[in-house]
Amino acid sequence: MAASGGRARVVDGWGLFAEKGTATMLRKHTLSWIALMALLATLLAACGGGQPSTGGTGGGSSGTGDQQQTVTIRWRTRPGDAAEQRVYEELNALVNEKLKDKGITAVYDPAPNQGYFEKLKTELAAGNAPDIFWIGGVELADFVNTGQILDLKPLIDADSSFQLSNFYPNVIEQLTRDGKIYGLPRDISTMVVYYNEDLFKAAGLKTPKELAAEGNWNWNTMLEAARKLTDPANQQYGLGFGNWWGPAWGYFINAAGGSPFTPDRRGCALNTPESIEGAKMVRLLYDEKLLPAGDADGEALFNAGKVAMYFNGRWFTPGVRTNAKFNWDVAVMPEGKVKSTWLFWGPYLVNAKTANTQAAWEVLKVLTSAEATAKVAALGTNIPPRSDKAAVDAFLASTPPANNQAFLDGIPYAALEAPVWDGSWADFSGIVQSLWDQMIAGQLTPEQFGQQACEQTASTFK
Amino acid sequence: MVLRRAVGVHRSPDNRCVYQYLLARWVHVRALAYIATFPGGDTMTKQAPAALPATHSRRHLSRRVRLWIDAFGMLLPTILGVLIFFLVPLAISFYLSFTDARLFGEPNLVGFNNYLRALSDPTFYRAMWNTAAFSMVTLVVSTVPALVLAVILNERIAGRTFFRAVFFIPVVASVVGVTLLWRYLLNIDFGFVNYVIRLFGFEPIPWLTSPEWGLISVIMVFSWKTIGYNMVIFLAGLQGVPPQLYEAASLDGASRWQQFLFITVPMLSPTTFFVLVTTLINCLQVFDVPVALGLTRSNTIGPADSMLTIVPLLWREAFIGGRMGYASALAWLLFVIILLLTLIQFRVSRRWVHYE
Repeated sequence: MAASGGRARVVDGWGLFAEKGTATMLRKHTLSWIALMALLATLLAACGGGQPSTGGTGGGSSGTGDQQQTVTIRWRTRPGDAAEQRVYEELNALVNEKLKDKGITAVYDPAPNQGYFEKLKTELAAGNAPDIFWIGGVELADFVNTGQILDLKPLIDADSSFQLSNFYPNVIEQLTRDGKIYGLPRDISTMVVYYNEDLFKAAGLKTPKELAAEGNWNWNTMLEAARKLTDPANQQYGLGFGNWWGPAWGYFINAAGGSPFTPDRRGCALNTPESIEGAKMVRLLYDEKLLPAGDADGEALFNAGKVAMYFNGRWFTPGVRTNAKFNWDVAVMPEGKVKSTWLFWGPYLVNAKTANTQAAWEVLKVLTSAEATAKVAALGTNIPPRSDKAAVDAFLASTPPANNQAFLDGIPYAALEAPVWDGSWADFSGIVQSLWDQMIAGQLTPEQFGQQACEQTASTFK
Repeated sequence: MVLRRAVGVHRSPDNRCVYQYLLARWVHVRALAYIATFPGGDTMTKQAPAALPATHSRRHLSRRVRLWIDAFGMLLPTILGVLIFFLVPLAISFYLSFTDARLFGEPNLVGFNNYLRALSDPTFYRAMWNTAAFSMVTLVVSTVPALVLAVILNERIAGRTFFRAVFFIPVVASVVGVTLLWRYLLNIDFGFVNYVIRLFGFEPIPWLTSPEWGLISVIMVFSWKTIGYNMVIFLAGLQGVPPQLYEAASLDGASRWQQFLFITVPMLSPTTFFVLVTTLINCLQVFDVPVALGLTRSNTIGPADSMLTIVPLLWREAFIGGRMGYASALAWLLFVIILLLTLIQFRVSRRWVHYE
């Protein structure tokens, strides 16, 4: 470009710089300077900041533990929404308070909901995973097989102040393998029916809680209520649940008397008549359009008052408390051929490569102590994994919902999430979910679903 | 050694200036004197005049070598970058595709097992089918409107700069952020798109919850994102069409449509070829949009894996399934497919692309 100060007429295809006179030069340069400044500003913004929020704890940025010999333990869990996130930040504050005399600082390092397990696995492969992290119960086998999970049995045996019997035995059983204990449960959560009391009252129907008290709460009465409360004109649905294994092919197939796995968990049992009955029930619900399709969007609809009954776990409670502007309560899951509900749980695991095993154990003990779990239960997000009276009472006292007992009632007959030691849960659930989606969309019959599921998942077992 | 060759070359094309000639001579003399101070230096300097005659080519060689070293030195940062972040991972990935490497543990060589497994995996064929369908439709949907827009926005109409910018904004917007927004817009119950559809009295469409509509949603969002870019490329190509052709054609009585068909389109054929090749490659490698739109808790991409294309499949195999070896094999299979298709495009292009 000519740098002369005379009549510089520069025209390009965009017609942007068609100017006359010396004013051109200043205008052109000003534009370049502004662009340059903007670029520098974005670069600097990218350099600074970028730390995950750690709430109001004293932990701050990823600690190096170099002040007065404190050991920093990084821990992580997966909050489902903002309300749950606040709960864990407060838990972190509690842990720090309890352990500051021992010179241990806990830092809460959250990870997003989407891609949580992939991030953990890549961090484990890279060697910079947190010291303590939570996983869903079904993922246990995958993580233990990485060889990077610490066996807690020696620490438990050496610690006289710790009682393993305080935890629910069926959960601890899932965590034990070959005499080793691979983690401690963070919480448990049975599924229940969250229901919109106002919608039921307005339609003059008995609420699920009342029906359960009468002993008349089963798939028939649930169907009846759902049909009466579905109103397509108002975009109102009678029912709702997420499209993942817990409420969908976990609960329904178990409640029909079947199971996704054979009793020894070494094979697929989705092609048994009972399992297919469960699939048929769900297919009926979708065919009659009694529920919104899709994964997590149903939760927002329930909070907006558009869904009468929603199957979900305890983690949904903080969100409903914050967002729902109607009267609501919970009830046990309806009885199918058998009584069933899905027990979702997840353990805290300790990274075998943690710098200080003893410090990590101390943090873990506090995280799963009666006091901490009672406090978290009081905040509403989950059910304590321990049967200590203090913890259970704190949970029952955490209202709304008024009927917290419904969660506890389900524990004895619940189907537990469990790891697949002799196969790959990730592959199994991926294949089944894909076929399930086709079934509820009408592309497969329930019989075909069961048959193809067992055919295609045969290779996922060892 | 340099001094031997320096004999008699004070006069060279470089030393045209008298000053340089004199300087070169002075340097030579001083250098000889310096060497003479060494034991045996006398003999060296005395032998110097009888040394090889300096040839033009020999001096040229040293300059060329020096030039090469300079050039290589300046290219070194880029070469290192390409090597470390591209070529070395490429080689490692090629090696891994013949092993059973997982996220954890040592890899063992298994020969062609991974490739054979891919060819017998129904999920792989599903992904291939999805990718093929997606690419064919997107190729048309994201190039034809782009061409139309480019032709329209090439005219001197009011607000053309504004509209050019507006259509280009989706290209520069962050793909994941924008796709998450689309996830809400396309929601069957409270999405804005279905709200408008309901206003017109139609049934809401299950964009993201039905296997039939899943791929269509991905096509929509991806095309929306790339039309702006193709439009800009076409605009650039349109600048190279000489306006005299249009004048001559209109003098001969050609209508606007005929002018478009017989002048614009053929003159744009190199640009169109470029757009087609790059769009096809991008389509075959699409990843962000299907995963951001459709990843579910059970790790399916879209309902019943309807949005599953090849790259999300290999990502899922690598990071969720932990099978790095198999995923590497899938990546190399994709490379071969893209290479073949691009070669075919190049061959076919000879027939319809006119270069000036």
